[in-house]
Amino acid sequence: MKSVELEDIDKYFPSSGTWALIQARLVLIPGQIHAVVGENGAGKTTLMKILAGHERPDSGRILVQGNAVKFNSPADAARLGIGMVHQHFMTIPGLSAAQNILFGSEPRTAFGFLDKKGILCTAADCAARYGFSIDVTKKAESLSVGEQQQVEILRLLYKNCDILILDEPTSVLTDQEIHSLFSVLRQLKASGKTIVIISHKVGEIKKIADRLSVMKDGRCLGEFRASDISSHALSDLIMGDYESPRKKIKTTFPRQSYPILEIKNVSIHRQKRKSNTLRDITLSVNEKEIIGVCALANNGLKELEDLLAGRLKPDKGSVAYLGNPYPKLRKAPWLPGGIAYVPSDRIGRGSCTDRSVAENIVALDRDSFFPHGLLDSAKAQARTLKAIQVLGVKARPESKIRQLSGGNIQKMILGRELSEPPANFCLLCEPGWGLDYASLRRTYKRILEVRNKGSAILLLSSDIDEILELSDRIVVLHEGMIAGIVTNGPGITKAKLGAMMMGLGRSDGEPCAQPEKLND
Amino acid sequence: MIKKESGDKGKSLIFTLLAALISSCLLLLFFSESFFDSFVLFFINPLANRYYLGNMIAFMAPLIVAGLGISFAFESHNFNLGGEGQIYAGSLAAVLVAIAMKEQSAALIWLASFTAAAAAGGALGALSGFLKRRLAVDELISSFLVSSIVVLVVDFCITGPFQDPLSNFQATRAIPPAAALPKILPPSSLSTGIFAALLAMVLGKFILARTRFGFELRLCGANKDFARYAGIDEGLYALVPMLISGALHGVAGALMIFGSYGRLLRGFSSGVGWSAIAVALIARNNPLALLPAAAFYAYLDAGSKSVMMGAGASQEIVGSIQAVIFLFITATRLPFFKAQTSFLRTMLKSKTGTKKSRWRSQ
Repeated sequence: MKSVELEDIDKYFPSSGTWALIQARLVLIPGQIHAVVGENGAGKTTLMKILAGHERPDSGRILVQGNAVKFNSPADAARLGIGMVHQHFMTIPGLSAAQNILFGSEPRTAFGFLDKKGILCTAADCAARYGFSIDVTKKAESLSVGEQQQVEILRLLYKNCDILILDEPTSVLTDQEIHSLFSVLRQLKASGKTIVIISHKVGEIKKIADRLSVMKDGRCLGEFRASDISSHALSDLIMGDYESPRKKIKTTFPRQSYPILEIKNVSIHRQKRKSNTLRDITLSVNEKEIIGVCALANNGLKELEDLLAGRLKPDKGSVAYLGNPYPKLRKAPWLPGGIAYVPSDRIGRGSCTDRSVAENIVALDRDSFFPHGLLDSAKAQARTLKAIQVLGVKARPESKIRQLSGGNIQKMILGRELSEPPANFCLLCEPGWGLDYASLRRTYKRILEVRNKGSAILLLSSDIDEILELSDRIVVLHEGMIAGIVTNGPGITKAKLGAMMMGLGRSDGEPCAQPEKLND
Repeated sequence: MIKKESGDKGKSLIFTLLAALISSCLLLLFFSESFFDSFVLFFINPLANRYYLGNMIAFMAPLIVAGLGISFAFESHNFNLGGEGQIYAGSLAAVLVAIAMKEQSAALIWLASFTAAAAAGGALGALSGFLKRRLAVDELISSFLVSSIVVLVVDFCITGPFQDPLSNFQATRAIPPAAALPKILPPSSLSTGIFAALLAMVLGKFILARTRFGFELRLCGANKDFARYAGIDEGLYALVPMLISGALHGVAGALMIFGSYGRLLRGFSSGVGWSAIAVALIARNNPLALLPAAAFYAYLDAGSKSVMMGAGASQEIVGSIQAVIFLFITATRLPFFKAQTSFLRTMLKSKTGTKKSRWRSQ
């Protein structure tokens, strides 16, 4: 077992002109679960990337068992047993889970060819040894998010890493998956591994971590034993000057009944994948209303998003927006007839990572920013600053998106889609994804502001807390059907929604907008 | 706000070019009779007199124009491998128009011939774009296959119906002498066509970097899903860049005819359509960088030809040198081709008949 210390690490990013780390320090005690907590952009990921050899520090020392070491690449760190699972998983879609786990160090046959059987056996052994319940013959593209994460962790375990760094491991997982991840982590801890979790979710950290370090603006504020610090004190430390107790934002408002978006009897069939379809969805979103739609994974949330993003055509039924057929090509949210859309895939769909922040905003409204076919830079700059200010993105207009942290990318997308004037219809998918507490409050506040200005908002989220906090009405999807529509209020609890999502209970007592269909 | 970054990429390019040069030297060292003579022939000779220098610069003109065509395709993430066929088709169209118009003034002939060349090349490119948009046929495959056919058809036209009966070469009749582009460095084949190429290059840079069309095109190339999300009709950018790419190849072919050859000879292009890909890769699709990239490529080409003639190195050695250079360049740009190779894999898989429609559904 190895002890690891990071001493006085500095890191400057010339491209964005920021000090990511200032005299940051960290001590890892062998065999413990250590959490690194802080806001978006506090430097958590950068510090851990330095420990895993992905980045080099400008100054400072890394000590492994008291010896100063230098990592020039992740391979150097791996040789000393340090490995990292990134926030965005790096599995290779065409390969099986086993091939992904053993990638780069596969067993070979006598002639140097890949030993396919050996790969499967070794990977299955490795999974069994650490108590993972994953089918290693499956192709990576058909793995769920939780399983992909298991593959990533197994990849490190196979390389005999005994210090595992997990970057925001829970942000993409459902409640059940988080539960099983935590039991895996406890098991690994029991077998002597040291685990580092990067997170900003106070509740989870308290549940799993033994020790924690708090980071803010590139500095380490201190290290604590998890049992020594209360959740409130911890969130105060992370937030600094923000209000700490989770205050509910009031959701009372005058009710109106003017429908903005109408989905009528929409069904989408897909051959083979019977579970991934929409069946007879009828739903209308009115102005000044937030409808929250929640479902377990593979129960139709993704299909509903793709339908309203224009990627899937309904096999039956129709969608109308402001009384007209739903537009094929989206207009920018600030234009008349525009639609605000925050996609769940923020890297692939919501942003173009090779382009600057400004270009990511200009792209939505080429008509206004390219008068006479040529770019109007001043106008583009003005719109960019406006969008950046909505949620305080830490970036300059000319920064490339891929230089931004995950939370900042999400803030850029939210700012762009929810900037003034707001669109009549907003499709928000997992808006709270990757945001720290303070940004989350500002985002929720902004969403409610937009609603109060008259927008109709459809909120697709797998985070039930988010649904409960924001929605006026809640729609639960189960196996592609509407399992129930309820009006949000004190009677609606997480447990009740959870039961509906599993297809167990129904809404009782609450007004139901339409009859449920449970035939076929 | 539309800045290109340097750093690591610049370093890897310099490494590539150095590696290409060094490996060329090594090949010469091993396979030529006198290394020193070969070295001089390879590196010094191309610059030593007007004739070689002129020919080298003349070769840059079609490389720049066709390279620009490749850049338009690559920037929009379309893979035009049909350059060779588009060059032949364009040249044939240009020659036929010029011969038919031999009574007219030179300016009129140029206008008509180059338009015809652009139309012929563009039609071939657009065909692949159309197939991609309508039937999801991969443009890399279709452009290559169509081109392979077109080259043979044009060969047939040259040696068959349009063969010059008075010539011993496999060639068409000559274009009217007045319509040939004015020569600059006689006796070399350098003509004013190089200025047309430079003009096209600057124009291409302007279109890609500054205009709305260029912005949308590059966005579709960088992230098609995001482009669609932003409300851009990405299907249009499968079609139009392929059309432009084909048209530029056609023009490149016409430039060779009007600048150097004066008639359409069988096999005259000797792989310009492929060389243009290397040039565009070295230039990383930046039109202004096409000039140094084309110069580098033309220099190596002139060097190897000079060794071939002067030191008796066999054509295979010279071909190997060019292949090594190409290999180095494509290897450093490998991630760029990743999407295509994964496509090939899924296609091969679908050929086995089990999961035919999988790659089309996202």
